[in-house]
Amino acid sequence: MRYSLAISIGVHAAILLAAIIALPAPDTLKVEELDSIPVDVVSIEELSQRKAMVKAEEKKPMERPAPIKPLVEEKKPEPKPAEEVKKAAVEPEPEPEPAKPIEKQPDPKPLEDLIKETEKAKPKTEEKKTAEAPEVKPKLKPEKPKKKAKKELDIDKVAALLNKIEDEPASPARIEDLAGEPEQGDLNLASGEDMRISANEIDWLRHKIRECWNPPVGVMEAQGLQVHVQIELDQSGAVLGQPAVVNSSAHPLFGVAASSAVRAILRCQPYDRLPVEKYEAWRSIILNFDPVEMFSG
Amino acid sequence: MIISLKSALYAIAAAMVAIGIAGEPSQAALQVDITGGQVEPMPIALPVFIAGSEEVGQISLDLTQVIANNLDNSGLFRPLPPQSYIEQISDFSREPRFGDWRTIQAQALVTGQVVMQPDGRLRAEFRLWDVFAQRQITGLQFQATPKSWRRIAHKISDAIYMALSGEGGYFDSRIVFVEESGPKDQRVKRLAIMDQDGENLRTLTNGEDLVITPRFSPTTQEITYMSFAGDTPRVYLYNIETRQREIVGVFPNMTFSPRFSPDGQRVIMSLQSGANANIFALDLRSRTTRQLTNTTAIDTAPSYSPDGGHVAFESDRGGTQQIYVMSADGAGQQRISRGPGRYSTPVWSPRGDYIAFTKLVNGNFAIGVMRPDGSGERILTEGFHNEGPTWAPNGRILMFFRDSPGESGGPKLYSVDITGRNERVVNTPGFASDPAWSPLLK
Repeated sequence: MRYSLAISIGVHAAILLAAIIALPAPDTLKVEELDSIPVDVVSIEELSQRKAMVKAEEKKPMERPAPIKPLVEEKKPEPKPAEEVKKAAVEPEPEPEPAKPIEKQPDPKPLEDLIKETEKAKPKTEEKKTAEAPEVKPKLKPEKPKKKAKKELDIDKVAALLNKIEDEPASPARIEDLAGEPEQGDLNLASGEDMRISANEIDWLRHKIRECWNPPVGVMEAQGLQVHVQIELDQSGAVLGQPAVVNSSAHPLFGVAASSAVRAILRCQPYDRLPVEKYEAWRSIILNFDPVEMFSG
Repeated sequence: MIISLKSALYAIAAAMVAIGIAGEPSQAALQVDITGGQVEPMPIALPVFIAGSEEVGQISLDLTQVIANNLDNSGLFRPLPPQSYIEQISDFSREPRFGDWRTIQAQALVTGQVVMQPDGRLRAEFRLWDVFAQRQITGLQFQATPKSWRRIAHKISDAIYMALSGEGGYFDSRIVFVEESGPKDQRVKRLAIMDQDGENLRTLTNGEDLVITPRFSPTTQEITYMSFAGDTPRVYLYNIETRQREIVGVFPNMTFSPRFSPDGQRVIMSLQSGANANIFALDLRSRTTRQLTNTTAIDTAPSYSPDGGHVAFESDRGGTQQIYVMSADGAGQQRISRGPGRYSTPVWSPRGDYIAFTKLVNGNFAIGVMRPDGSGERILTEGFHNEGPTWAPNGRILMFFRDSPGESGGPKLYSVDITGRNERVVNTPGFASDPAWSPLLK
């Protein structure tokens, strides 16, 4: 017994020693000089929203991928002509800058999808591109070579996108920023104090949405029913894309509660009294709807 | 080796700090809590359904109007005036111009069309649109004989109501009640039935005998009611479709009209003996009765819970009239009403979550609801001689009758939402009392 223990310890020690001595030292980790890459915690809904924004018009929502599940199934085959009508209407519309969502996705996987997305958007953007070419130099150049190729993942393309990201300073471009170069200075604030939105401003927003929210009558009586909706706003306070419901619940009234929340948000835009100079602080908001005050018991 | 490890670690740490400071805020987006909103009827636009041919032109108009009235009467919707509509809907299969409807503040839009099919049947179809989200919420199609166009309108109303409120509808249902006419001391009472919106009124009896307390069968198109030919009360079963009636029995000592059990197999009633009254259940097939209460008090006005497992009733065994609940076999009799005053006519909601009642306190009549354990008592309406609540099939609306004082006064039917809002009078040609609300029609 004792022998086997000793042998075991001996062999273990020998292996350890061998590993320490004989294995090569790990390479120094090469850390490239990176400009700060904006890291956004993105949920699936947001990802699909960003894809939607590729197809959508500039500010007003048009084509809907509808993250909210339909309340009642459509029993008619005829809605299809309506859908087609809708799509036909979208196509001739001018396309926004598709580069915009790409900058926000440093992960490789979404990059692939976005490359594919960019490819799909290509046929629609051609007219607009030529018109905008002189204005939007740094963003469009890497895209021109992509025009021809379709839906293949090329290392070159990935590199091109990465390059584009590296070229860009930290703040992602929005349509409004196309006119000027985004300034690197914005995001190097050490303290971040100046960027915080004040309680008054939040109160204004809360009050505004409350005025527009008509929860269905059963929802007002439901305890513990909450709807969390995430929205992206542009600098004028208009909602970008479609509000995304980011939670779920088995409660039978969750669907109508969610619809009523989304409706409230869309009705009351633009939220134009939010301070433009603090835009970074309020451009992405999660609204938590919970009608506790209305519960009458 | 060790040195390179250290510098590697420093490099990593430096990079992380750099990302940490200069990176976009990776904390969650700004969070704002919305803890309340406005109670407002939803503005909804209902352009007239497109008529597939000239022969259905009038039906299209009427059908749209019935739907608009239903939604308006529910108190949850506010149909917008047609003269304010910007877009004219002419093609049912095309998407509407949502901007036009947003401009007039419509939150929902209903488009539809009515077609007379070659087989002689009427087909009506509709789409319900969310104007701000710019998408279709639901779309359905109904077919029926042209005579039943009102039922189609009610079914469409129910579908819209359910899609927007999340609650079951109640529009495709009927009310049976007692029509009263003549001078106050010599009232002629007839049994009558109508659609819940007051239309399609039909008188069922000729007024010779006194009729009271009609009740719907939950499973068939039948009504029970009590009729007094002379002094003897008889319980009748009346089939609405065949207009045939049969006698259920002669109950010389019946004090209160029977109610059906939810499975339609039994009726529950109160029979008097001497100075007291007790509750009995009669099996309609075997015609055997079972006594459920046995007290020296007056136990009356029994009402089954929607699962048939319990019975709520009125009893004065404690000194004043109060509400009690027991199992369907009579076990576990317990008082549930708590406040001062006298409680009567308990009626269990079809959703099982409330019991409605009449309450008399300090000479004032009120209609209220409480939970089946007696908690959460709430008064919905008070008035001169309010009595006899009955539930709509979705458990959200109560109908009752209210008398008006004086020689020329008389009872009328009223409805009120379970939140106490939207009290309205039901337009009957004459006086009306004792309403009973049918289940949703199939």
